[in-house]
Amino acid sequence: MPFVTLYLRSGCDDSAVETCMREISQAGAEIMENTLLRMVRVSVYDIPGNRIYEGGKLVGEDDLAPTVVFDIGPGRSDEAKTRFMDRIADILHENLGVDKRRVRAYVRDNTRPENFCIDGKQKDFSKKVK
Amino acid sequence: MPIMCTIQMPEGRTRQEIQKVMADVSEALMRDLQTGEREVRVSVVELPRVRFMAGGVLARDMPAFQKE
Repeated sequence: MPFVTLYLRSGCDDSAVETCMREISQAGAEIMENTLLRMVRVSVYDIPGNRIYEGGKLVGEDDLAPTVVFDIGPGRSDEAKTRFMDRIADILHENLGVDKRRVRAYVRDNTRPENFCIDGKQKDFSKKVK
Repeated sequence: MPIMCTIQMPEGRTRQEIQKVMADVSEALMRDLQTGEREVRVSVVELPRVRFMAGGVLARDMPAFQKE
């Protein structure tokens, strides 16, 4: 962690998606406390348009319906998490033309710290890296 | 007690590697959590190499994911 997972309607331009991923990685390193660029993971799931629903109905053809899931370990402030989510919405708007109001984000920051390991070793979240 | 494990990774590993990982992870879960054979589920989600980035580097540009 930190892991950013994006769910987007498939068909987005690859280079625009790549730019989003780079900018999100950089923003995560800049905004989140105790976070370096090398720690940030970004993955994107392309979802076919006929598999995206809202209110039980298929969303419109021009609606990318982006959903962001952000997994983050302890030691980061609410203020930083909020700023990062706002920045991600900006990045999606700037590169994919998404209406910021259509970006829904979920922050999952309640994973028990002892339940995360790197290469088989439990992560020490008390260690400061920046 | 049902156990579910999802492994997310960029595509580019061989079928044999993925099958071995699923078998090894399943075995570890059954052994260490003392579950029955019908109680463990493991799935591997392979993302396109242009849809996974670690530390600002796309999987497309990582040597580890150039196989197959």
